[in-house]
Amino acid sequence: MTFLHKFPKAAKVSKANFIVAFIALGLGGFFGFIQALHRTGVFRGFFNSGEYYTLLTGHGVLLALIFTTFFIAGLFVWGVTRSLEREPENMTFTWSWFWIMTIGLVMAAVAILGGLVPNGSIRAAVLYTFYPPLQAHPMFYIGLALVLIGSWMAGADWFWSYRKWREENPTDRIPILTFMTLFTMLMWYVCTIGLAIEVVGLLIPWSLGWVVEIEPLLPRTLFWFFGHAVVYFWLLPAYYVWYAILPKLSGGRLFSDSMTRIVFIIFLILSTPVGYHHQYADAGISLGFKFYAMATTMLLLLPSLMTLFTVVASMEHGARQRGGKGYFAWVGKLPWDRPAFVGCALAGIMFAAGGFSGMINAGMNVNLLIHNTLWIPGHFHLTVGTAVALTFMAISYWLVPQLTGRKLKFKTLALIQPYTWFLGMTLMSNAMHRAGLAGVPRRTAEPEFNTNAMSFDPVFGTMGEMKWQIAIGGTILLISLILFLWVITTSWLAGEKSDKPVDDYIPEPLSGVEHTPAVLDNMKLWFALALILVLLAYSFPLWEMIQDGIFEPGALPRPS
Amino acid sequence: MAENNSSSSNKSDPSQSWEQQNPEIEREIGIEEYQPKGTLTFTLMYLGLVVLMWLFMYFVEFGGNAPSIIE
Amino acid sequence: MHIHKFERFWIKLSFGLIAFFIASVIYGFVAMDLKVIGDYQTIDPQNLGETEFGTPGVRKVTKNGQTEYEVYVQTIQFAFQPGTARPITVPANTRVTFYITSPDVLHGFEVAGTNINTMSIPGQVAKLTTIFPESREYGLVCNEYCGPAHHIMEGKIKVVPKSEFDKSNLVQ
Ligand code: HEM
Ligand SMILES: [Cu+2]
Ligand SMILES: [Cu+2]
Repeated sequence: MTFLHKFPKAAKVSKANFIVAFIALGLGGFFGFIQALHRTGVFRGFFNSGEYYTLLTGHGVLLALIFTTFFIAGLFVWGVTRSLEREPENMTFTWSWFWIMTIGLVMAAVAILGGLVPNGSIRAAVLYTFYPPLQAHPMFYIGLALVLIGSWMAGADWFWSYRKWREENPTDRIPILTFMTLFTMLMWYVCTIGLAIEVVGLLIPWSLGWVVEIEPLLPRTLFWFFGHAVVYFWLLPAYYVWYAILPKLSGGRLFSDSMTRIVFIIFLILSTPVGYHHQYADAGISLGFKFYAMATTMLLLLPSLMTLFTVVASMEHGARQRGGKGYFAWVGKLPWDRPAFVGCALAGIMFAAGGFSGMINAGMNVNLLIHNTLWIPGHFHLTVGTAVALTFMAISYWLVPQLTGRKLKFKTLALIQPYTWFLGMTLMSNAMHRAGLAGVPRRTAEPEFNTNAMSFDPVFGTMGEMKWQIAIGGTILLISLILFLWVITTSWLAGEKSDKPVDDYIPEPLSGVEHTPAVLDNMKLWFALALILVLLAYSFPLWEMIQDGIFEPGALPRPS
Repeated sequence: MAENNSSSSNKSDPSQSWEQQNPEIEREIGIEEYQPKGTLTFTLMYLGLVVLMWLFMYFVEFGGNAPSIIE
Repeated sequence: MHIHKFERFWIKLSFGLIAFFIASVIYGFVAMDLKVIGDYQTIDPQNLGETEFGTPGVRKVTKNGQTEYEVYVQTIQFAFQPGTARPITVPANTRVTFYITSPDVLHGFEVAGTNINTMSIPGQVAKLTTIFPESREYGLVCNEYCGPAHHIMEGKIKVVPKSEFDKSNLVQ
């Protein structure tokens, strides 16, 4: 008996979400490969430089917004169902959120890809941050709003299961998988307030022409109200895998249940009031609020540093149970020949490196050294592009068998895949960081100076070597992605049927829930605290911005 | 190389812990006994590295990169 | 609650690290003149012509008895005015204050290889003061996506020795 046999309805929902996620991953990753070749100048024959931004919008939206959201939905359906031991309460409701999100995604994708049709009227080359006054087709914003509404309903679905479970189990502690899901979703509700106001309140009416002018700073600020917390919306499900599943894959147990809960609570509280750290270089935000955002951002290092300790300690526990010894030698006893473990572990190593560049980004003034340079994509391909994406791919090797009741095929290819991703990303990301330090901008089809006979002077390495590392790294990443999709598709369709395709048992933590203070499960308390901190950060600046009228000082829309 | 090692929760004797059923595990280590000294070593090394790199990035790369915004 | 003693120690160190980062930012800000821009003023992006931005360029001003320069820059799709058609020319070792805004969409204003890096947002004026320590040319890059020809948007800042600075090109 595996998940599929115990909970066939939920398994179907998870699978549907995964299918959408993997299609988005394949398409978005392919665009990434074209970008890597185009912007380095290695090969510019696929598309012209004007179309680059359509691809880049597709890459950002499909990967950062669609792949993540759908994968997370599938993962959470699995975790909530499994840990509460109940199928979703009402399948019509469950399928309706899935279809609302899917329709929304298709609308947004059509609007973006319309940009590749010569002389087409549907365009949305506004990148995944869609700052006005660059304007996309209304279908783009409406599609995104539908994805958002669907994700809210998905969260409601999990809270619904929890309520029902609670009625039947009034004294039990919230199981850890459900706890992590609910806290991630609480954070999602807090931060998407900003996005909903921006998209539904400002951009949809404006793109439909009901209002003509728009104040650029207000939607930008609302975007970043959402835009930092969204990175934790991607990251927390990866932490969820690292806390709940990775210890077992390493041969051990989670080190501490209470630490896990505390970490998720801190993320709920602090994730949103930090948004101005994406606006350190903006006029119109006062230094006081920039500083407040920096202090909260730096405090957010705490839960990630705690995670580092707890997760590594859980892996070390596994390694020692497997016979590991010494200060360093135990690492060799970890199962480096199992794809799911290897992917999660390599993702964690890359996250440690990405953590450092994130600390630089967070430093209010040192941020200017790298603001909007290629350093930034270098940073987030380590975090969302590897810590999150590689963890999701790796855990699919463990989850998809449970959802399909089929064993994994091509295990050697599956094992090579995370190592190739690691290699490709090491090449691409280190070069991006260094190019950024030399001043090379991000989000550009042709970063070189054209007419001014100027050049970038790198501090480390040469421009030529960086260019090749980015292009070759991007190519290796594409190969790794193809390996992943091949292994998953063939296993899904033609893997050997089995009652027990993987060992899906998860042992209890070393320091279990019996040692965890009850107050940590008080969702109302932590949610209220999160709202208060957001109000402190945002009420005054937003109030100030709308003093002269919501759409003033107004700028006219510009085609993208 | 298989993801599924032979242990399993439902086929087996419930009085045995997960570790005892799992042939890859040599020795069960309880909470009282476990000292994550390897973890502490790694995290301290990471901390040291981060501090050094920050000092370099902040005071050399950034501090020495004039002109800067002075007001 | 069980917290292992190593983990307690690690959490304390983590707080120390956070405090160290915040302290070094404050130190740089106060003692090393490594600042970021703050709030300055809003402006109507559709009527820049009626403001100083209508005649963009370098102006001479006297502040506290010292000669300083002010540069009004419009970032437009897909050029810096001034900066692209002709370089922004300023003297070395003199205080120069940039006022930057945009009539159309968001742009970036990055002096490549330096710490001068700011957004140009329609409706907001970015104000920043700097001193160029050496006479040389700097590349100017738009580092925020601003439309289909974003990648051609670039410019140049030419810093000349104080004594060679030609005042005849100043805007009055
Ligand atoms: C095949 C693997 C990948 C390759 C070769 C790749 C390549 C690139 C490149 C070269 C850029 C920079 C474009 C520019 O600024 O001009 C970029 C941007 C970006 N990538 Fe990737 N990437 C890959 C995978 C991913 C993954 C898995 C994610 C997230 C889940 C991701 C998220 C992003 C985002 C959010 C941007 C920024 C888009 C923007 O600036 O609007 N990428 N990618
Ligand atoms: Cu952020
Ligand atoms: Cu631009």
